[in-house]
Amino acid sequence: MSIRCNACLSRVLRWSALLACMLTLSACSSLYAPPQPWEKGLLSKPAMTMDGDPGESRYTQHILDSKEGSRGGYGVGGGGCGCN
Amino acid sequence: MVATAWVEVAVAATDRNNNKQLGSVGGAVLLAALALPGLCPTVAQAESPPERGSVTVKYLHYKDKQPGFDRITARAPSVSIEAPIGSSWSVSASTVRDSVSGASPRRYTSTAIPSGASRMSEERTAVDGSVTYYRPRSAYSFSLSNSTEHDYKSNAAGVNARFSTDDHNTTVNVGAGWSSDKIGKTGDPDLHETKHTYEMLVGVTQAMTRTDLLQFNIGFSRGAGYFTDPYKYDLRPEDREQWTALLRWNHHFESMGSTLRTSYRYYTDSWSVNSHALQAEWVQPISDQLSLTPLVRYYTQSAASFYLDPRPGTQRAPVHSNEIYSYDQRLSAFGAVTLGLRADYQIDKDWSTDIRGDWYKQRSAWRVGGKVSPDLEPFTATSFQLGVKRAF
Repeated sequence: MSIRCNACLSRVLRWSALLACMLTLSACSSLYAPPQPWEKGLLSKPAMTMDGDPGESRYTQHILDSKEGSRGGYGVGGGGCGCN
Repeated sequence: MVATAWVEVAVAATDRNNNKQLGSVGGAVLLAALALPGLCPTVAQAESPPERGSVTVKYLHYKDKQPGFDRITARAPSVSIEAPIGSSWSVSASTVRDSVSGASPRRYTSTAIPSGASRMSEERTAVDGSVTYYRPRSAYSFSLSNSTEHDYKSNAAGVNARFSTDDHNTTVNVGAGWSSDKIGKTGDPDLHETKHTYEMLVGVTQAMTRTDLLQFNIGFSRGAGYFTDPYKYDLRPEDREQWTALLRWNHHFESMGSTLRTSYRYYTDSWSVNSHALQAEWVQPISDQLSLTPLVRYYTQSAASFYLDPRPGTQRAPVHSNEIYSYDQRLSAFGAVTLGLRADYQIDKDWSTDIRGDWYKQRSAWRVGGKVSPDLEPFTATSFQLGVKRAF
């Protein structure tokens, strides 16, 4: 894999570093207390899944991809379309 | 179905010696880490297939407009199915048929730009399927998809692997995808172009507290081939490299039973389009059966390096001598806001239904963070989705 857009890579890494700093700060506080196995009930609620309703995401991402200039970041394997 | 899962989870929470039950509860993080759309079962047992299969029928109605003009209308029914196979496998498949008609939105006055089919009517059929194999602390999936319309055919494949730590609080996700597109043009039998794309995604999902899940993904995509829109007056580069950084945070408020879902995505590409997308949803149970989820999203993007603004004081195209250029408003600098509301209703243990309405508006002036394209016509879209699901 060759990277042509070095500027892209450095921009993404800068934003990622900023986010990582914020996460590290929060990790040093009470925001980081990984649950014990018997404490995970609330994490398994349907509202806590990351991707949500797949049918809804499919529709919504398709509309946004065809009306905006950016796409992706959530998953791989979807194809393209000639959408206007 | 949801109530049954809750009873199991409650039992697991009090039975520390039952490893199988603990494994199921810990699988919640692995589940939340699923990054492949279409593979998100509603029961939290990711190191094993979903407990129940389901069939879902959905319908989308979409309409957009600009001041004084109706533009595109689209209707898209879809059917999807997912099912466990034994104790280690699951499959899913879906199909959607878009019927789109109308005229593409324009930022420039229609007489300024010569164009091909400005009014159009198009049908598109897409099919996708996937299979997943589950192990105690990992899961592996393979997916295929196809999208076909009169002047555009796309075939894609994807693979994904997820690994979680012993305590299931951390999950790493790696995915790769490939896509091969064939492009034509209505009214021009000599146009036969292709485009090939490959992409990768790496992410980590972390249970931060008993009520917080955090996910961070970095994505990369590289496409080569025909990117030009044959119906617009433009000529685009033959290469596009895209990068994304995505952060998602879900927080559950125990006292209210509600959940705040937030996400931020940074995007940048080799066409100089940079964007930020910030979204928040609030899932609020109203009763045992009904919940409401309002949603707000703000989006801002910069223009592509080869996008051309209209001549000052007009909405007419400038004269250009560039080899690469575009007047497509989707590559201009603008900001956009989405307001949405979704209702979920659990009818009984097998049937559920959902409905969602969205209002979306794009304006050049709403852009934040840089140069604004001249205030061309704003663009508004409304849509609603209706779904019915039957678990079996």
